[in-house]
Amino acid sequence: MLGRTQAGRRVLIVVGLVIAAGVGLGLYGFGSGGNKSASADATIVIVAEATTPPLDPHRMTGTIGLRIVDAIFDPLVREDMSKETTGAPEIKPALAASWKVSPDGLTYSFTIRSGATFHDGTAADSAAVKKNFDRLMDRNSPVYDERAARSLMLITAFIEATSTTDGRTFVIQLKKPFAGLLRLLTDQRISMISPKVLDQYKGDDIALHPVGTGPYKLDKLESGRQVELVRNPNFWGGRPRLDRIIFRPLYDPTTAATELQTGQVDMIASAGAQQIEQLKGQKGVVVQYPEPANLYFVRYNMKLAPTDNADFRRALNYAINRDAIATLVNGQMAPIYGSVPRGNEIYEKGLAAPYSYNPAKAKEMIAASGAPMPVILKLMVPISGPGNAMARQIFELIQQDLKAVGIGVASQYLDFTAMISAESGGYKAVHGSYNGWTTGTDAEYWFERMFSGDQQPPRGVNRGYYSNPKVDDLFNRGRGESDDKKRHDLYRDAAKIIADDAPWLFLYQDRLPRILGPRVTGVVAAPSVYFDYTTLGVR
Amino acid sequence: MIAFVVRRLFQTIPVIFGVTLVTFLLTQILPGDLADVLLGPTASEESRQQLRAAIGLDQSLLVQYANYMGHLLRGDLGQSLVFAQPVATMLASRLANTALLAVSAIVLASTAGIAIGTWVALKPGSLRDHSLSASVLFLNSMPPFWLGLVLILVFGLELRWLPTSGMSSAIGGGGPGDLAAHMVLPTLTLGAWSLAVITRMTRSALLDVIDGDFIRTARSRGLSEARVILRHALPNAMPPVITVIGLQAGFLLSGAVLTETVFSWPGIGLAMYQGISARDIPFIQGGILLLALIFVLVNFVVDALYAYVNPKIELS
Amino acid sequence: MSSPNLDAFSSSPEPAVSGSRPWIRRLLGNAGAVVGLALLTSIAIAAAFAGWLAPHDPLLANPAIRHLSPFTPVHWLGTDELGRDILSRLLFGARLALLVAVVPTLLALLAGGCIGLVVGYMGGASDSATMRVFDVMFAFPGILLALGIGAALGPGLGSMIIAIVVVTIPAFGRVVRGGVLAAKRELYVEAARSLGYSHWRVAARHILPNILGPIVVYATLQTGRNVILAASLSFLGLGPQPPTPDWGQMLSSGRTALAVAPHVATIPGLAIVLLAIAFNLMGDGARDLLDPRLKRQLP
Repeated sequence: MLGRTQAGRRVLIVVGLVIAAGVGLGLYGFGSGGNKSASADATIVIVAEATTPPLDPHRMTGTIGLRIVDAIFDPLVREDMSKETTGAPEIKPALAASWKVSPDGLTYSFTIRSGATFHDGTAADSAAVKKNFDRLMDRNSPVYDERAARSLMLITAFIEATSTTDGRTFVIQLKKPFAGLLRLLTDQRISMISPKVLDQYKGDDIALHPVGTGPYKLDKLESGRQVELVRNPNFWGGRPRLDRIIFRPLYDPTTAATELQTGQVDMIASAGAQQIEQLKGQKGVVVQYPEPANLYFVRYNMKLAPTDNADFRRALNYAINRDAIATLVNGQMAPIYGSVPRGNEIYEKGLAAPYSYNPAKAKEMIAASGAPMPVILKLMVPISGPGNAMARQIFELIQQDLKAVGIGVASQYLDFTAMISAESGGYKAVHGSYNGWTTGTDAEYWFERMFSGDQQPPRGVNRGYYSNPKVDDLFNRGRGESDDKKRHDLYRDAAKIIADDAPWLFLYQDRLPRILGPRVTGVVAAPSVYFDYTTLGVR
Repeated sequence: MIAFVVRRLFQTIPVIFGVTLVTFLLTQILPGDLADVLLGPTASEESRQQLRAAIGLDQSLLVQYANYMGHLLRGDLGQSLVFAQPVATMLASRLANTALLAVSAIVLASTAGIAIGTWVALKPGSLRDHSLSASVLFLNSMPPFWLGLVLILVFGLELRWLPTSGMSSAIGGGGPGDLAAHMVLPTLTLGAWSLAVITRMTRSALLDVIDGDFIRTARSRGLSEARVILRHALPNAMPPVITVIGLQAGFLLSGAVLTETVFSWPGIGLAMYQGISARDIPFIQGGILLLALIFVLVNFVVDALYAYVNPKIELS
Repeated sequence: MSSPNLDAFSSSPEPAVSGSRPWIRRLLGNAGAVVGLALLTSIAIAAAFAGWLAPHDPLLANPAIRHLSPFTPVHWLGTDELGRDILSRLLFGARLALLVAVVPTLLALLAGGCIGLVVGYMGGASDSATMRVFDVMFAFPGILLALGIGAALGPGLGSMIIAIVVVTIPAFGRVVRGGVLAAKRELYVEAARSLGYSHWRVAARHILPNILGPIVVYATLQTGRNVILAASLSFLGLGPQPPTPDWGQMLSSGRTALAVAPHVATIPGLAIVLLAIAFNLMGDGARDLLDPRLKRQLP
């Protein structure tokens, strides 16, 4: 019997040693991983909330990838992220040092900055810019790329032709006057890629060689692992402050917040309410609310009863308790009762926002609308994608509110990409979908894309087929109007009609907070999901 | 034994064909058209038709399958939509990470399982035996992702002993110590279920041989009990244990999807989950195919190993 | 999570052993079954009478009281991320949990059982063809195949059940076929055949009753595995859609608040474990009683 226990002990000792060795090794490793000598070489770690997409700006969608692109590449012009503004950020020079607009509003001449070079040493001249536009617009060009062209069609659609008049001057010729062009050109997606890369690589391979003129250049890119950028010492705008920027993929919000707490990461650029709650009271942690223009809504199908009934749609806008949604996310969202979000250039308090929370009124109006009851609305809801972290929970509240006024909802929860694919051709057998758009500051771009009768599928993204001749007429007059105030007033009139027609269930504006660790400096809460990489530094 | 292995190999080949057929058919039952998925929302009907013709979607099913097999034999698994790289490259770059996790989980489960199983088999019916039964039952009844979350909660969030995400620290990561630290929780999560199964099998296999004649003979020769167990009983109890360890491959490959999702481990499982939620059809297809082939291969190797350990085996 | 080698009857890797267990352990094994049965019965009662037992409306959201801790007076198990009563959601969720565990077992047993019975009895080409098809299906790790099927059919209760059934049919087919093959070799089958009974009669009257034991054992254990498989699919977003109270989904949506309110994710997980334990205990007990040969075979 003694033998038995001895054998048992021996086995036990071995097992114990193995476990102890494992844990010991683990602790050692974690300790050494945490002891970063970061202050010596200034490094900042930014959370990437999902897989980092291929780094080809022209083909990109989604904030996560564009945030990386923003550091590597430059567009011609940028929004000024150095100050907090209530309206749209000012437009400032980027790769173009200056620009001129012809009196008829049709010709834009950009003077390309001298002394700017791509990370591979290629000169950033007007020919390089032209080659980028050729990739998007010239079917006969050897660098033309169908997917890139399609991805940026909504911007290039305004452009008739591009040309270079000399080594530094790049000219854009418009089809018709369009005052919003410069704002569109600040889009990170229309950044300039090295012409050498465009010549040398094709298709998907371009994304593996992200070479731009921006303050940081690529150092390490491994599938599923972190993306690392290092300082571009030859940056045209002076010496960038950081040695290294790391984008660390952390899909789980709790883990991301915990790593910020322990100093493993320094910034969560798109933060959720739970993360802010988790980090509450943490010393040195700063929460910023940039509040860029955006709007979350349910877009209705105008071709299917009862959502083809404007009285019915109006009634539903009184049924939703938007404050409860705000409570759910700790006030991270601001209720919206109309069609214009804060941050858009035409925004004024109370403008085109006729609704409130009044379920009794909603019930009355539904009864008066003549919509046949009972009704069950078939709605699609995304369960993933940028800014949709809480979409499922929020929609459950909406569902509850609609039930309270006698409206049933048959919800269809889909992956974001799958939902876009399902609705892109316009709604078919559904009453609509739950959606959020970052609207940009430009009124024309926002309103026309969303509400112009001309922008119905397959041409545009007016996927609910909203069309009102009065609104279209105001758009036509506004588009050519070069006087800002007059143009804004025309769009304000349109916004009021749209709010009254209620093609959407207007819900809320996400304040899109970001969390900065104690070491981060140089990030200002300008109204944008982006920030200025040239001022980003470390304490 | 060689004859067995050869015959087993011939059984494997039709299975491999079947696997390619199933992965091919999987894309046929996915909702929507591959062309829609590839081109995205803003594509015109014209370019959609062009693409359909280009990738052969307008051909008959048989021709499409032949095309698929042709590409497959050239090692071409198509282009991933989400990752915009060849699927084969993507899978290859992540295979090592999944293999690392799966192998460490099975090594942990096997060594600890055999050790613990032996330890309790020495005293059947004792308190330790009963507590083992209870633990085995508990581990076998636990969803792996829940175990993962509890481990994150305790060791990551409360005690802050161990990292809970990815394979390395953001800064100064990449060393073996750092990697080991990141491996602890995912390995435990993935290995727990197998650990329970292997422990249980070791225990019962040992109990079955321990009363055998040769053990009695060995004991009567006055050998020490430890020697009897380790030299005589354990080797004879090994065949069913090896079988059970081999059977874990399927569980580990499935479990990797959940474990990698919970711990953001950059392996095939996490990419598969992301690919499926983003409808990256070529990647889903390639990933499922690869994992299934690995599984077939592991089973074959296990059977061959089993035949080696136990030469009397016949093909059923 | 399905293990491929289930022909415990035909090619068991070790000889069947029994009788070496002292009676006291055997009794204890049955005590486990008793505990399992009691556990399952209470969960079933909770599910059946959820409407009466639940203190609150399981769907009623109130963000103002979200993330309440357990042992709060009005909400005994606290509230979730929408301020819904977790206890009430657990009780109603028990219905779904039982449904997605038991129904796929029955369907897969029916389909797989019929296939196994027919091909096992007939043997020959149809048998080996079917076995090769099963081999192919076994070549796919369970969750992956289920995820693929789920992606194809879209998330929901129905597609989840279909996915589980498809993934588990081959195992049932093999268990039944193995039993049939073993029974066919027995004398009473030959005797029945020599008396001139039809194949169907022999299969239904003589073979089926004799393989019922192992089937019941396997089905019970598989139901326990279904609990976990269903929860896993739900966790990955393939299960019943909100606001339906579903344990797997409660767990996955509670995960975002793991640091702030850990109970939201951990409590439903515990419920899943309890239900799986109940089926596993019963399965083990049934194995001891009905099929001692299998005692040490199946995990």
